[in-house]
Amino acid sequence: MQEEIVDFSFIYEMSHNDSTYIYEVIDLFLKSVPEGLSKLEQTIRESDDFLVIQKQAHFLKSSANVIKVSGMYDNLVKIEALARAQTGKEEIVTLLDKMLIVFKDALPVLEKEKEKNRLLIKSKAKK
Amino acid sequence: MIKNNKYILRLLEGINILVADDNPLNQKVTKFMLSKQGAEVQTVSNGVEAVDMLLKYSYFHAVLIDIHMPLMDGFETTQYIRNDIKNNIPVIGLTADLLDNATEACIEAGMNACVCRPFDSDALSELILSMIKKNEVKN
Repeated sequence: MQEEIVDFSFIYEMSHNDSTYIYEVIDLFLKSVPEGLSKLEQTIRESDDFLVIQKQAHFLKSSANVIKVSGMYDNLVKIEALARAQTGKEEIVTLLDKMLIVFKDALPVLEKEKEKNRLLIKSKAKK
Repeated sequence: MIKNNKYILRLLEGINILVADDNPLNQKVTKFMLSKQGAEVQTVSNGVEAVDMLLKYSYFHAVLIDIHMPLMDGFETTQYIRNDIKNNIPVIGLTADLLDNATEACIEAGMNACVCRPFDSDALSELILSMIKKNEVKN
């Protein structure tokens, strides 16, 4: 069976399928994570500031635990560990590139799920 | 409260909790979880705001605090709560991992416990309740 690129199970289970909550969490994820990734990318590509890389990877790691984009959490764990050890800049770049490719593919899936929940909220409101 | 034909216990009914976390997504998840358990939850984004809230309001029963935050992290904030404002409110550290002996560091800073994300709503609520009860016995 093909692995899903985005795993929403945590927010569905936690909220008992509450569409309003799921919509808001996905919306918040879409507002904060691309910006956070972009900050991480900029720091990695333009500096050797391992402390900032470590902190930014850690910050994103928490979000990656709520909505699980394939491989994102594991890659952030590795980036954070490498940055903490102040080593492996090349590996950090490779991990970042991998993560950005997957995240780009995940974006339409996230948008679709958000829209699905928006419609569910709308249909519930009509009843 | 009945949901999906199951009785859901609202363990934190009447409990006021302050959540300090710089990640808005985590704030939302934690607030939702605790609110579902009946708690009144207020959120702030850093340790300075958390201290400010504790100085302004005395109705909080417990504080949940992210270890890594800007301005004042969870450790510094707890030390400030314990040593400067002399408040013995239960403080529980929140972390995305338990690297670097985080639990030990949390206890050393004056926290009552440390939990790793993603946490289970019931287990977290029970932990909060037990910390509040312990605190009440101490006082």
